[in-house]
Amino acid sequence: MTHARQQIREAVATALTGLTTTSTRVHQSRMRPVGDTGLPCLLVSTDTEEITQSMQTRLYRDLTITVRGFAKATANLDDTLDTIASEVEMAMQSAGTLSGKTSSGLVLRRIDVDMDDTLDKPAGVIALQYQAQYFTAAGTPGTIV
Amino acid sequence: MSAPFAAIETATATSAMAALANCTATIGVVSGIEAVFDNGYATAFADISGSAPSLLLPTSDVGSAAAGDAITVNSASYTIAERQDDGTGMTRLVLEAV
Repeated sequence: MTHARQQIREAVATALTGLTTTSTRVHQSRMRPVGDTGLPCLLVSTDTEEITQSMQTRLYRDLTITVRGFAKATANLDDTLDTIASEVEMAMQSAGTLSGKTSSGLVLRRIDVDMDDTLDKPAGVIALQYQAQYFTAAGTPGTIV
Repeated sequence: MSAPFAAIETATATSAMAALANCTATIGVVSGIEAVFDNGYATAFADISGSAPSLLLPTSDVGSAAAGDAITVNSASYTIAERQDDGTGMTRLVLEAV
Protein backbone atom coordinates (compact mmCIF):
# COMPACT_ATOMS: atom_id res chain seq x y z
CA MET A 1 0.00 0.00 0.00
CA THR A 2 1.24 3.49 -0.79
CA HIS A 3 2.38 5.69 2.08
CA ALA A 4 -0.29 8.02 3.44
CA ARG A 5 1.90 10.95 2.42
CA GLN A 6 1.58 9.89 -1.21
CA GLN A 7 -2.15 9.32 -0.85
CA ILE A 8 -2.61 12.82 0.57
CA ARG A 9 -0.33 14.45 -2.03
CA GLU A 10 -2.18 12.75 -4.88
CA ALA A 11 -5.54 13.74 -3.41
CA VAL A 12 -4.42 17.36 -3.18
CA ALA A 13 -3.18 17.30 -6.78
CA THR A 14 -6.51 15.89 -7.89
CA ALA A 15 -8.39 18.58 -5.99
CA LEU A 16 -6.29 21.27 -7.68
CA THR A 17 -6.57 19.94 -11.20
CA GLY A 18 -8.79 21.97 -13.53
CA LEU A 19 -8.54 25.38 -11.88
CA THR A 20 -9.13 28.32 -14.22
CA THR A 21 -5.58 29.66 -14.33
CA THR A 22 -3.48 26.51 -14.02
CA SER A 23 -5.83 23.99 -15.66
CA THR A 24 -4.31 20.49 -15.79
CA ARG A 25 -0.74 21.74 -15.30
CA VAL A 26 -0.45 20.27 -11.81
CA HIS A 27 2.76 18.46 -10.90
CA GLN A 28 3.82 16.47 -7.87
CA SER A 29 7.40 16.88 -6.64
CA ARG A 30 8.63 17.79 -10.13
CA MET A 31 12.42 17.97 -10.45
CA ARG A 32 12.89 19.44 -13.94
CA PRO A 33 12.18 23.10 -14.79
CA VAL A 34 8.96 23.96 -16.62
CA GLY A 35 9.11 25.88 -19.92
CA ASP A 36 6.77 28.53 -21.29
CA THR A 37 4.26 26.04 -22.66
CA GLY A 38 3.83 24.51 -19.21
CA LEU A 39 2.95 27.77 -17.44
CA PRO A 40 1.20 28.85 -15.34
CA CYS A 41 1.36 25.71 -13.26
CA LEU A 42 1.13 24.24 -9.77
CA LEU A 43 3.66 22.09 -7.95
CA VAL A 44 2.45 20.05 -4.99
CA SER A 45 4.91 18.63 -2.50
CA THR A 46 4.60 16.89 0.84
CA ASP A 47 7.36 18.24 3.06
CA THR A 48 8.20 18.14 6.74
CA GLU A 49 6.19 15.77 8.91
CA GLU A 50 6.25 15.65 12.68
CA ILE A 51 5.17 12.41 14.24
CA THR A 52 4.21 11.56 17.80
CA GLN A 53 2.98 8.26 19.13
CA SER A 54 -0.41 8.92 20.69
CA MET A 55 -1.04 5.30 21.58
CA GLN A 56 1.01 2.15 21.29
CA THR A 57 -0.69 1.25 18.04
CA ARG A 58 -1.35 4.67 16.58
CA LEU A 59 0.88 7.50 15.25
CA TYR A 60 -0.24 11.10 15.18
CA ARG A 61 1.19 12.87 12.13
CA ASP A 62 1.40 16.58 11.38
CA LEU A 63 2.22 17.01 7.70
CA THR A 64 3.26 20.18 5.85
CA ILE A 65 1.96 20.35 2.27
CA THR A 66 3.25 23.08 -0.01
CA VAL A 67 1.43 24.20 -3.14
CA ARG A 68 3.54 26.47 -5.32
CA GLY A 69 2.08 28.39 -8.24
CA PHE A 70 4.44 29.53 -11.03
CA ALA A 71 3.81 32.11 -13.75
CA LYS A 72 5.60 34.36 -16.24
CA ALA A 73 4.14 37.64 -17.43
CA THR A 74 5.25 40.99 -18.80
CA ALA A 75 2.58 42.80 -16.78
CA ASN A 76 0.51 42.25 -13.65
CA LEU A 77 2.52 39.23 -12.52
CA ASP A 78 1.49 39.86 -8.92
CA ASP A 79 -2.17 39.81 -9.95
CA THR A 80 -1.68 36.47 -11.71
CA LEU A 81 0.01 34.98 -8.65
CA ASP A 82 -2.73 36.25 -6.34
CA THR A 83 -5.37 34.82 -8.67
CA ILE A 84 -3.63 31.45 -8.52
CA ALA A 85 -3.61 31.66 -4.72
CA SER A 86 -7.29 32.54 -4.64
CA GLU A 87 -8.20 29.54 -6.80
CA VAL A 88 -6.00 27.20 -4.77
CA GLU A 89 -7.44 28.39 -1.45
CA MET A 90 -11.01 27.85 -2.62
CA ALA A 91 -10.24 24.40 -4.00
CA MET A 92 -8.38 23.33 -0.87
CA GLN A 93 -11.28 24.49 1.30
CA SER A 94 -13.71 22.54 -0.87
CA ALA A 95 -11.50 19.46 -0.61
CA GLY A 96 -12.37 19.22 3.09
CA THR A 97 -10.67 16.24 4.71
CA LEU A 98 -9.67 14.72 1.35
CA SER A 99 -12.31 12.02 1.74
CA GLY A 100 -11.25 11.27 5.28
CA LYS A 101 -7.52 11.12 4.63
CA THR A 102 -6.93 13.96 7.11
CA SER A 103 -8.59 14.27 10.48
CA SER A 104 -9.50 17.93 10.35
CA GLY A 105 -9.03 19.23 6.83
CA LEU A 106 -6.24 21.34 5.40
CA VAL A 107 -5.23 24.45 7.30
CA LEU A 108 -3.48 27.30 5.48
CA ARG A 109 -0.48 28.42 7.54
CA ARG A 110 1.60 30.71 5.37
CA ILE A 111 1.94 32.34 1.94
CA ASP A 112 5.25 33.46 0.41
CA VAL A 113 5.83 35.29 -2.87
CA ASP A 114 9.01 35.65 -4.87
CA MET A 115 9.80 37.18 -8.25
CA ASP A 116 12.76 36.88 -10.58
CA ASP A 117 13.81 38.98 -13.57
CA THR A 118 16.44 36.60 -14.93
CA LEU A 119 14.38 35.32 -17.85
CA ASP A 120 12.95 36.90 -21.00
CA LYS A 121 9.83 37.75 -19.00
CA PRO A 122 9.48 38.30 -15.26
CA ALA A 123 8.76 35.04 -13.42
CA GLY A 124 7.03 34.61 -10.11
CA VAL A 125 6.12 31.98 -7.57
CA ILE A 126 3.52 31.99 -4.82
CA ALA A 127 3.86 29.27 -2.21
CA LEU A 128 0.92 28.27 -0.02
CA GLN A 129 1.88 26.18 2.97
CA TYR A 130 -0.81 23.93 4.45
CA GLN A 131 -0.89 21.72 7.50
CA ALA A 132 -2.75 18.44 7.69
CA GLN A 133 -3.17 16.09 10.64
CA TYR A 134 -3.81 12.40 10.31
CA PHE A 135 -3.28 9.12 12.12
CA THR A 136 -1.78 5.90 10.92
CA ALA A 137 -1.47 2.55 12.56
CA ALA A 138 2.05 2.04 13.88
CA GLY A 139 4.12 0.08 11.40
CA THR A 140 1.63 0.47 8.57
CA PRO A 141 2.14 4.00 7.21
CA GLY A 142 -0.27 3.44 4.37
CA THR A 143 -3.20 2.77 6.64
CA ILE A 144 -4.94 5.97 7.69
CA VAL A 145 -7.04 5.47 10.80
CA MET B 1 36.97 69.22 -23.69
CA SER B 2 36.02 65.54 -23.97
CA ALA B 3 37.61 62.87 -21.82
CA PRO B 4 41.11 62.08 -23.14
CA PHE B 5 40.40 58.53 -24.19
CA ALA B 6 36.73 58.85 -25.14
CA ALA B 7 37.39 58.86 -28.86
CA ILE B 8 39.74 55.88 -28.57
CA GLU B 9 37.18 53.98 -26.50
CA THR B 10 34.46 54.62 -29.05
CA ALA B 11 36.69 53.61 -31.95
CA THR B 12 37.83 50.46 -30.15
CA ALA B 13 34.28 49.46 -29.21
CA THR B 14 33.03 50.04 -32.74
CA SER B 15 35.91 48.07 -34.27
CA ALA B 16 35.44 45.18 -31.87
CA MET B 17 31.73 45.04 -32.58
CA ALA B 18 32.32 45.04 -36.33
CA ALA B 19 34.33 41.85 -35.87
CA LEU B 20 32.20 40.15 -33.19
CA ALA B 21 28.61 41.14 -33.99
CA ASN B 22 26.12 38.32 -34.50
CA CYS B 23 23.04 40.43 -35.10
CA THR B 24 21.68 43.79 -36.13
CA ALA B 25 19.39 45.83 -33.95
CA THR B 26 17.03 48.74 -34.33
CA ILE B 27 16.79 51.28 -31.53
CA GLY B 28 14.31 54.06 -32.09
CA VAL B 29 14.71 55.19 -35.69
CA VAL B 30 18.28 53.92 -36.02
CA SER B 31 18.54 50.51 -37.67
CA GLY B 32 21.42 48.26 -38.68
CA ILE B 33 23.23 48.61 -35.36
CA GLU B 34 25.75 45.79 -35.00
CA ALA B 35 25.74 44.02 -31.64
CA VAL B 36 26.33 40.74 -29.83
CA PHE B 37 23.03 39.07 -28.95
CA ASP B 38 23.13 36.58 -26.08
CA ASN B 39 19.99 34.53 -25.51
CA GLY B 40 21.19 31.50 -23.61
CA TYR B 41 19.29 29.02 -21.46
CA ALA B 42 18.45 30.18 -17.95
CA THR B 43 16.19 29.23 -15.07
CA ALA B 44 14.25 31.06 -12.39
CA PHE B 45 13.88 29.47 -8.94
CA ALA B 46 15.37 26.33 -10.57
CA ASP B 47 11.75 25.56 -11.52
CA ILE B 48 11.05 27.69 -14.59
CA SER B 49 13.20 27.45 -17.70
CA GLY B 50 13.64 29.92 -20.51
CA SER B 51 16.23 32.23 -21.96
CA ALA B 52 17.91 35.40 -20.75
CA PRO B 53 18.22 37.80 -23.72
CA SER B 54 20.71 40.65 -23.64
CA LEU B 55 22.51 42.78 -26.17
CA LEU B 56 26.12 44.03 -26.01
CA LEU B 57 26.98 47.01 -28.17
CA PRO B 58 28.99 50.24 -28.24
CA THR B 59 27.57 52.84 -25.86
CA SER B 60 27.76 55.36 -28.69
CA ASP B 61 25.15 53.32 -30.59
CA VAL B 62 22.69 53.24 -27.69
CA GLY B 63 22.03 56.98 -27.65
CA SER B 64 19.51 57.95 -25.00
CA ALA B 65 17.67 54.61 -25.05
CA ALA B 66 16.49 53.61 -21.60
CA ALA B 67 14.43 51.00 -19.76
CA GLY B 68 10.99 50.67 -21.28
CA ASP B 69 12.02 51.61 -24.80
CA ALA B 70 11.29 49.29 -27.69
CA ILE B 71 14.11 47.53 -29.52
CA THR B 72 14.22 45.06 -32.39
CA VAL B 73 16.88 42.36 -32.64
CA ASN B 74 16.99 40.22 -35.77
CA SER B 75 13.38 41.26 -36.47
CA ALA B 76 12.18 40.13 -33.02
CA SER B 77 10.63 42.74 -30.73
CA TYR B 78 11.81 43.35 -27.19
CA THR B 79 11.63 45.99 -24.49
CA ILE B 80 14.76 47.28 -22.78
CA ALA B 81 14.50 46.07 -19.17
CA GLU B 82 17.78 47.55 -17.98
CA ARG B 83 20.64 49.58 -19.42
CA GLN B 84 24.09 48.73 -18.06
CA ASP B 85 26.86 51.06 -19.26
CA ASP B 86 30.27 49.65 -18.34
CA GLY B 87 31.98 53.05 -18.43
CA THR B 88 34.56 51.95 -20.99
CA GLY B 89 32.53 52.42 -24.16
CA MET B 90 30.36 49.30 -24.09
CA THR B 91 26.77 48.83 -22.92
CA ARG B 92 24.74 45.74 -22.11
CA LEU B 93 20.99 46.02 -22.61
CA VAL B 94 18.98 43.47 -20.66
CA LEU B 95 15.95 42.63 -22.80
CA GLU B 96 12.41 41.54 -22.08
CA ALA B 97 10.30 39.68 -24.63
CA VAL B 98 7.18 41.49 -25.82
